[in-house]
Amino acid sequence: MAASISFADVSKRYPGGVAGAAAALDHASFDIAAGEFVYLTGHSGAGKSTVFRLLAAIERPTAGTVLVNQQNVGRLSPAAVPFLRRKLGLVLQDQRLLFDRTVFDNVSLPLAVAGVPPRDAAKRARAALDKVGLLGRERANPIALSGGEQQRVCIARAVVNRPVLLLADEPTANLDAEYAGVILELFRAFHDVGVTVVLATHDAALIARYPARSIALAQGRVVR
Amino acid sequence: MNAWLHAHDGAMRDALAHARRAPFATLFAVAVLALALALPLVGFVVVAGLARITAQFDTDPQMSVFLPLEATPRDRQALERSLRARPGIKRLRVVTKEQALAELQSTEGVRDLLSGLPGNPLPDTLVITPAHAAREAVHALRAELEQLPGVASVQVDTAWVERLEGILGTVRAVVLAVAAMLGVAVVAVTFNTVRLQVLTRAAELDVAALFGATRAWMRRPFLYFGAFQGIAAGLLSIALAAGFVALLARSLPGETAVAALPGRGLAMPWELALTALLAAAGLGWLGAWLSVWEHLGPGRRAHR
Repeated sequence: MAASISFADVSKRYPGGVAGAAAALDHASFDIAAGEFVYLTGHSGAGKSTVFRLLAAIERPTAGTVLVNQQNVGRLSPAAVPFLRRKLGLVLQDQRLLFDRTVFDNVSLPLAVAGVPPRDAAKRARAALDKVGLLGRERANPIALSGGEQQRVCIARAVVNRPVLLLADEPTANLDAEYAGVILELFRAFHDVGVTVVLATHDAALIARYPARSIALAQGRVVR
Repeated sequence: MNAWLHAHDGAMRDALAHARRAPFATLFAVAVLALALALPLVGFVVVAGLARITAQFDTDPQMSVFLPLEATPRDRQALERSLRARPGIKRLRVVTKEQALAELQSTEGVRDLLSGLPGNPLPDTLVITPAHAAREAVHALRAELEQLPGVASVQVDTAWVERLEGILGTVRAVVLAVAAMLGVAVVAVTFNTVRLQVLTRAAELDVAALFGATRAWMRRPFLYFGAFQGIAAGLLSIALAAGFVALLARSLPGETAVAALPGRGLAMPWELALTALLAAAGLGWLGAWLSVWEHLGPGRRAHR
């Protein structure tokens, strides 16, 4: 089952911000249907990462309502947040790979967190690595991989728990066009099996190569 | 149920894996904790040994019931019969005034003194061992006996037993106080060890939280680590204390050493060893719990 998203008049100001400075999100409203593939575009500081932080309940909106599958994630209790996150697949801009662990350990972490038995977890982690073309590198340390391979480890980690919503924040940043295409093909493959995919990027060339609906942000506002 | 078991199994493996990843730090912490635990353990064993040694002595309190000087043998026999029929008396021995005098005369230097006296100044005495050695029971019996007709006075000889018990009680209290202080030290050391672990694993905990780790999931390996570290320290402290006590017993004279050691010549009573092990595990767990509450508790913004 895929997830639908609804932002209704959402604003977010971070505490300690300069008085009068622009909000990270300013009365943003948009909807994403279940199973849709959507680009979130805008320059750095436009509010793309804040959208993801609100969807994953890392932050709560200052105003407005954020719904994931009709569930108001801004009002979730702290105890309920982990169970929301287990339905999400996160590919973070700063990757957050654990360099003192193997590729396999990194990919199987969400399964351990969810209490999947070790034997099943091993099968699923290998299957996820197979999907991203890294089967055979599970014992490697992420530091020994190229930038593109590290990004694929992040994608394997994001999808290993069979998420209903895949959120990728600049997954092709710092990759050349060829690698960026490979990564995007992976996201399209997950979308093809029904997963809702929201991909933040400011790479117009990439969007032109793989067209889909875009939600454009500028200074925290939805401009298109 | 399976998921719960897997979660705990995973947390235990994680705790052991962390100990393996930093073997020297773990061993050093265990050694420090073991030394802290061994000291009161030795104290408890020594106190228990002293109690066993003193138990070998005839510590039953005795009472001397003195008859009036003018009492006749018939009076003495009547009182003896009366006392033997009473409950609360374990043993009764008669020391006649003639036996008392003869005993006194056998004492060097006293004979000449007694020869100057016109007659026997000593009374007939009934020496009683009460059935109940408790202080209150002994004093109650004394009060009852003093009221009996034909009794001049009653003397209780329990002072030295009470003094010995007092000394043992003081030593026991000191050992308990030292144990309490070192228990706090064990909690503090574990708190700090776990704090460092949480800091070392901050990145991992952040990532785990992003992928749906609950606070319980994050806390669990640290709690197991604290308990496991406590168990390891407890086992080592038992071995250290047993070794030390065995060496100590070897320096005592043979019979005293046998009396000081518990059954079958073991240097450590198993009940005490088991208590020490459980206490060590509990203190380790408590130190870890306080640490994760401080560093991974609900008030913390990190690891959301």
